[in-house]
Amino acid sequence: MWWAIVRKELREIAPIGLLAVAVHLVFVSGLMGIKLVTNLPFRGFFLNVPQGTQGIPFVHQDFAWGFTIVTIVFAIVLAFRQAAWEDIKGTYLFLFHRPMARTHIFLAKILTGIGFYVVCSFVPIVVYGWWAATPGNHPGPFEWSMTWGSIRILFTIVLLYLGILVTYILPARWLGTRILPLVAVGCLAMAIAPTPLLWPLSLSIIIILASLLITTICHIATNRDYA
Amino acid sequence: MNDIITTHRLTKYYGKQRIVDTLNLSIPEGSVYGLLGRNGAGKSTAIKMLLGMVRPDRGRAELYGEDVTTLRPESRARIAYMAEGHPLYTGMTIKQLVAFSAPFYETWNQDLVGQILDHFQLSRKKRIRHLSRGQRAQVALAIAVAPDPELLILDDPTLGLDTVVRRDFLESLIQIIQRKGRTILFSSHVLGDVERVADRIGVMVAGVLRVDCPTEHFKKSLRKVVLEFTGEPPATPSLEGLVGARQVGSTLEVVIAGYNGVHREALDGLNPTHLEEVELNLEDAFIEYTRGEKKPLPIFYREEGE
Repeated sequence: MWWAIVRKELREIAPIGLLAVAVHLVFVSGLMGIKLVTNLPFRGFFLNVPQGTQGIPFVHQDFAWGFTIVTIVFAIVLAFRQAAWEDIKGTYLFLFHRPMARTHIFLAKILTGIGFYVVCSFVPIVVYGWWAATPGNHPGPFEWSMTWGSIRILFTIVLLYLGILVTYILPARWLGTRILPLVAVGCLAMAIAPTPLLWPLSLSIIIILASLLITTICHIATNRDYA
Repeated sequence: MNDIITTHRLTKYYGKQRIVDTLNLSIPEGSVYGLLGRNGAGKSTAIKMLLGMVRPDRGRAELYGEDVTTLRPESRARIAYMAEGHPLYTGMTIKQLVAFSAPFYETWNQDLVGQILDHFQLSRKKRIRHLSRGQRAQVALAIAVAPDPELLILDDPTLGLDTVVRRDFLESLIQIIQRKGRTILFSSHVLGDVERVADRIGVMVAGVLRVDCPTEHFKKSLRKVVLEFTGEPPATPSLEGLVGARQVGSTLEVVIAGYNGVHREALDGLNPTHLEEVELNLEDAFIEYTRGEKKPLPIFYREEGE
């Protein structure tokens, strides 16, 4: 049953993930000095990318800003597809009549979403890191530990993804009430992401907040109306 | 006979509007129950509350004696539900949808799904988004009955289907009903469908269940009396069970619930030149019964022989 939900979710979110990876790779290719994007839409965004790294990879802000923007958009679209889309199409009525606890159904959805998001978002880090680690590609030094900052951003945006899920499934009538959890999570994410805390401490905070958000989502999903 | 579905004072508000009002319903095992009502009467909300999709503000609903808000997955597996409009995953093919649904049920009958899909000549490779509304209903029916459910709850299953598809769908439904003594609750706007399939009906008017009785009982309970006069008809007398009265030229049409000798005597007292008692079919009975917004409607709940 769990696998049935996981497969369904992956089938639905795969195109979004592939698109996100493609955008990431186009962006990263710019940093690596490969010109792929001169005729693409939104090329202004990509053309602002320095052609070739201007400093030390992952340390100077050449990677982080583009990675953050693409990842946030990916998280928003992913959460929309997983939560709001089912509401709009009325398929929750079909899904929640399957003989499986509603909490488990939503847990399967969320864990699939997070896993898929993490895998897709790791691709540009690995590709850019691999390029940076290859001698002769750039003049600066490189250690894989330099990627921690980006990885911290990646995991912090998991909180944003969960906050967006809460916003989508919360049956609040007022926009303010609806987006309140997202604003709260956004503020926390902005506080955590750039703060140079010890990695285990940052990760612990993220895990605790994510657990709270997942519990909240499962509670809302179980108790709200699907009219 | 055991009651499979029972509700106790089930009530739901949306904002300040009471959508379902103190619904008390008991549906015995093996019966085919048609839930009728005009648009906005509260049928879909009542059905969603029965399945735990909508939480009641007051009261409770039980399926197999189990509160629906805490319905166990094993109990849910015994119930098939076709939601209004047949919401299915449009990005999936029929084959993928069947493959998605099957692992949830221990009693999944793949042969039966195949038979139904073959009967409707549906290609497994076709995506749900490319199916017509009627074909979606057919796929939804195949998936609903595949786990061999004991109870089927169908929310307006023939909504939007053309006459031919609707007839075909209903005939398949009748076959499924006849195959085993399943309990079926379905809502519908199409009275002909209900008349063909249901042995018992409930009529909801503005969120209130006004009728709950065998189909034949409902039809027999309502009688239209046509009175002709030489000139302007007199005012309609105050009669117990009066559902409605309409004046057409020199003719007065009166619809009465529980028509009897007392009514006849009162109408004779108006001195019509001609008086005719007309038996109503289900559609006419329903229209007469639910027409108008504010008239006081009689309630007949208890039927003879049960």
